[in-house]
Amino acid sequence: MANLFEHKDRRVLPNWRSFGNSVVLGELNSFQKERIIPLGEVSIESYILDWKINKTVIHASDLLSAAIVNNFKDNKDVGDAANYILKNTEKSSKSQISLASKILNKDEIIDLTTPFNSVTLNGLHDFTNTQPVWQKIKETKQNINLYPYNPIFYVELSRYYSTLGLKDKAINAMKVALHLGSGNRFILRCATRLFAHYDELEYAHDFLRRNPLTNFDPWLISAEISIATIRKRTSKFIKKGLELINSRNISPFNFTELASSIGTVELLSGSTKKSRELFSKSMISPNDNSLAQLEWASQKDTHLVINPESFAVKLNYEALALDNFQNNKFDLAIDNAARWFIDMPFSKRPILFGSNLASTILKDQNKSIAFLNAGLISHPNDPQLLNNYAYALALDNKAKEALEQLNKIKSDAPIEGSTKICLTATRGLAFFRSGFQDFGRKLYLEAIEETRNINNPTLNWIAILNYAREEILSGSEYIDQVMATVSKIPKEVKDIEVKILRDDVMQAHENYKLKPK
Amino acid sequence: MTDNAAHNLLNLTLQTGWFVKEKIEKTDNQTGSFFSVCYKVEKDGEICFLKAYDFAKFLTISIPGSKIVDVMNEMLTAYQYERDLSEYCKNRHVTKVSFVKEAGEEVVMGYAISIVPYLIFDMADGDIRKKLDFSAKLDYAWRLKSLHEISVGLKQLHTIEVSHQDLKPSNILVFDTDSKIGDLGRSMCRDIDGPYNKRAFTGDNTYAPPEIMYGYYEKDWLKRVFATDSYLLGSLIVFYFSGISMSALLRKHIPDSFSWEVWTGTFDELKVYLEDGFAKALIEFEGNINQIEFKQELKTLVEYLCHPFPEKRGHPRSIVCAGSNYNLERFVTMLDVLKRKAELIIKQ
Repeated sequence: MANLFEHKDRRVLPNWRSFGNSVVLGELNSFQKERIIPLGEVSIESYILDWKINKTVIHASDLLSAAIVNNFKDNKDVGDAANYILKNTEKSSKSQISLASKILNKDEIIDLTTPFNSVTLNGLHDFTNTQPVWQKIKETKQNINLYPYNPIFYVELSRYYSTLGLKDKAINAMKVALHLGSGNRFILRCATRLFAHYDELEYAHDFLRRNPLTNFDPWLISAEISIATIRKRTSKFIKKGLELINSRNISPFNFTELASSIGTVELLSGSTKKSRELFSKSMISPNDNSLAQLEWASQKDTHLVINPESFAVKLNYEALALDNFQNNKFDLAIDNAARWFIDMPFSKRPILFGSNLASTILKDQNKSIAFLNAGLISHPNDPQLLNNYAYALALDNKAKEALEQLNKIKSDAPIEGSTKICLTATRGLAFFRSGFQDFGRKLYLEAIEETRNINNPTLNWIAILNYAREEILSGSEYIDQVMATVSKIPKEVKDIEVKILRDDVMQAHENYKLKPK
Repeated sequence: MTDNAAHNLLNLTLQTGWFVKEKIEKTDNQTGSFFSVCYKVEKDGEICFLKAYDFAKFLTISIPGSKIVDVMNEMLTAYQYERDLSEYCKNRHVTKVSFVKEAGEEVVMGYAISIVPYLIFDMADGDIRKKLDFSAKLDYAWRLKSLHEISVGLKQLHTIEVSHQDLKPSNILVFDTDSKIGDLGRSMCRDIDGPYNKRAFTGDNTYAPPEIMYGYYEKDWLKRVFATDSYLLGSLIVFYFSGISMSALLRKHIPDSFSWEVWTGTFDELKVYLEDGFAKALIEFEGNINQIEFKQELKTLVEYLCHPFPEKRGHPRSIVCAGSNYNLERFVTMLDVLKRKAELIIKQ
């Protein structure tokens, strides 16, 4: 059976995007409301006068310099000077031309969503081609050769390596970035995400806790609280974070993740009143992360209602995918999962979400395999992904290929309890579809027993339903016995996957009964 | 204007013997010259530039937020300071700076304020902007010669602890084939109590270094003002080859949210982004240099002189050695070598 998409453990870890995208999203803006030393009044009249008297390219570009530095880009004479340069490009330098163009295109707004709008699941095939990522790595290394002390280049390099699943290289590059720019929010947040991604939580927690910036930067306090929560520690920054949220000295967008992460702590500790209040504050001006967190929290606390589409938040594909899923809009959910993955190609969550949805609910194994192929680039030989891959292949009656995928899992690979159970069940499925029902049955029963041992009813029901379907399809003598077990699954169960699987099993059983014996 | 003594000097022979032969239309509206009227003057066949101070102007204008007494005081101080500083530099072997040739006062009868103080300077062909041309025929040798002369002038000023603070294209004066630094009016001198000595920056914002724009000021006077001059020299190199100022180039490569007009955080928080913008600005600057022989050296010069963080500004060897980080000696040498290299290319 497919690995469950874990709805239960989301935390407000910083999302990691390219430097350019992080800038456009506003996550690196200063959070203080006013400048410590206010800007003085400036005039560019002398430059305008010079330009009007002389009317040459050089006087025009001197005026443009004054305009861009002193923020007079809207001035009419500045526009005239820019046009003059563009009409005399043969007398102008590259920088003069490019500055003139920039000034005239001042209203150009970078829309980050444009590259994502056309993305559908079919486009995921393009992302299995690693060549463009290698090209980016090459270019970033060239930049590093030129500017070896620029930490942003190392963060970008680390991101490309993590996209390709090159853990050690990704970590090394990020450590260099941390060394060069430990006093910077972008670097600290990206490093937090990377080290959390590779389960090096203690390291991430250490550099966050010790960094002086974490004492007052809401974006870093939020990251620290989330890491502490994952480590089951109480963060010493919660009080400070609450003070910042209530201080009215920072804008709501700057505390959205902070309110969301403290809201999560309160929700997990059962303080629903406080949690609702904080989640409500996080929604005054949310970002994609706080929006996705509330979407997750709304499954824990039904009083938290959210419609992600009602917020003008860019790159909110995770929240949209989860919301579509909850509202049974599965086709939309799968396309948004594809966008979510392309936005964060190092992340496993969109792959698990998409493949599980495609295999179990949409019953489209090709779609599931498309997700998994893309995900296996950043997570080669990952047991969870290989399990889902084998599950999709087996359901598609490609039992041999399914077993081959399962055999790729290294014997010494650390495998989490529920994944082990899934692997056992999937192997059982593959044996059923290979005609070795006895082996398959043995493995399924073993998996079902294990789900009871770990006290995970949802996983238990899913295992039973998968097993029941295979017994029915093979027409075995155990059908009545297994259907009796199926009938014990509570009717009012909310899990969509369980509901759909049960409907499938009931339908298969009906069909079986109608079939001439 | 006609009832104003400073505007009516035409065709007069001044007490100092200078004949006022032509009024020059104002091309500069900056604070320092707001109260001045410019003329072409002649004595013994030599033509010079006269800047007459219009003391009557404060009676006819009102500057919002300023009292007339303060405005008058500013004008007087500016006049005295420019005169005295010129004298101070002239006596200390500074050669590449355009000085006050003569200072005097003329009484023109028949006006409410009949005294017109004036300063006479050598007549330049114009500022550097009249010479720069970015069409295909780029004369690198000429540009590098000019930059070398300016660096020498700035070094001479630094030697006597004068910081120019307002080095920009309109203040680089061209005299036939030579270039000189003009307008000492915004300079700061340790030994002369000037009108701007207490300010963090006295020059033009368009050319100001990033630390000034972000409101981060080094407390040590010498470090602050010489770091500013180093940046301004680098910015001039950028202008000579790209036609725009270093600050404009830097601003172009800094996202709007990190710009000086938007950023409300500390200078420290910004350093990584500034470093990134600076790296991209340098790459763009390099793209303007058509002659491959000069690309690397010019980029290196700008990188050292214009580093966005004052503590990293200057020649790396000067930074690690004892003495000032902003000693311009090495840059003078580098520009001299480049100038000679360009001259050799022309000769070949």
